[in-house]
Amino acid sequence: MQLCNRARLSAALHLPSSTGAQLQFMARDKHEKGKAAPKPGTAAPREPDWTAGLKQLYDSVVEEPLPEAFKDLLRKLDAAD
Amino acid sequence: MDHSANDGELPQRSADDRRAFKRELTQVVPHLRAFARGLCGRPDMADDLVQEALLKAWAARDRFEPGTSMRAWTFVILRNAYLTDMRRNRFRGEYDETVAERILIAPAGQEDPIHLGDLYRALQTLPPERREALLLVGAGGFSYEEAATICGCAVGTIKSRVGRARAALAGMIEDGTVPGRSIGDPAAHQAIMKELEKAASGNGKSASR
Repeated sequence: MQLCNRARLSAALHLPSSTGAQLQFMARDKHEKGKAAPKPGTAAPREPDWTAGLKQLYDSVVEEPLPEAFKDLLRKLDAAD
Repeated sequence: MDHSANDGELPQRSADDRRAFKRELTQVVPHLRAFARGLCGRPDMADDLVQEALLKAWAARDRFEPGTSMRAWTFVILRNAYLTDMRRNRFRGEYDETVAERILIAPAGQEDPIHLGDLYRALQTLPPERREALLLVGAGGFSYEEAATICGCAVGTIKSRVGRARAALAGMIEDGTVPGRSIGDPAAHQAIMKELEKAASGNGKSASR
């Protein structure tokens, strides 16, 4: 997981640093070449939860049981072949 | 993005390829549902959209390059279907608040920094092109390069959209200005439709050659 922009962004936005609710939304950001290379030790220590929330939104749907309508549709595709 | 099935140029697929296609298409359905829900905000409409995309993908199955990413390929189809429907005003940036609140609550036990419902609502206020960029990269785990291919735009454009989307969400969450209800503001809607036109002008490549 690339952490290059998190510290910079956190600083820029004055994100709270002491609570469990800390927003660390840039933690999943990909490394941007040529810009503000990450310095070890300057990244905030916590794992992200703002970003994790996005992933969680996505995963929560992925993990839902597939509705019957989709199973039907997939079966029909076969039959049409 | 509909093409006639018999261009004459399409390679014959082996029985194995066809079986693999069906299997991969089946596996990708949950991901299509997740992407669609993020895009259009309403579970029922999202599922309609996915069904539409599945039928289109099936109709275009000979165009799928075996061995390439089924998820990326079908996301292009889903995205195009979404943009088409959006232009027909089907979604209007609404979302089903009740369902969102019920489903998208962070699991108990977490220190619940951000209510996922808030995050979801905030997401729905973003212009479509930024929302989709953030969904692809931040939620779907696509690389910037893959997202750029899906959206038919430059990698730098995707980076910029993701950055703006993140900044907007961070701002809303920081300032506590996450909208509490569905977005019925006509000005906001107009702005979204404008952005949509821009998003639509870059068509995804891999499914619409």
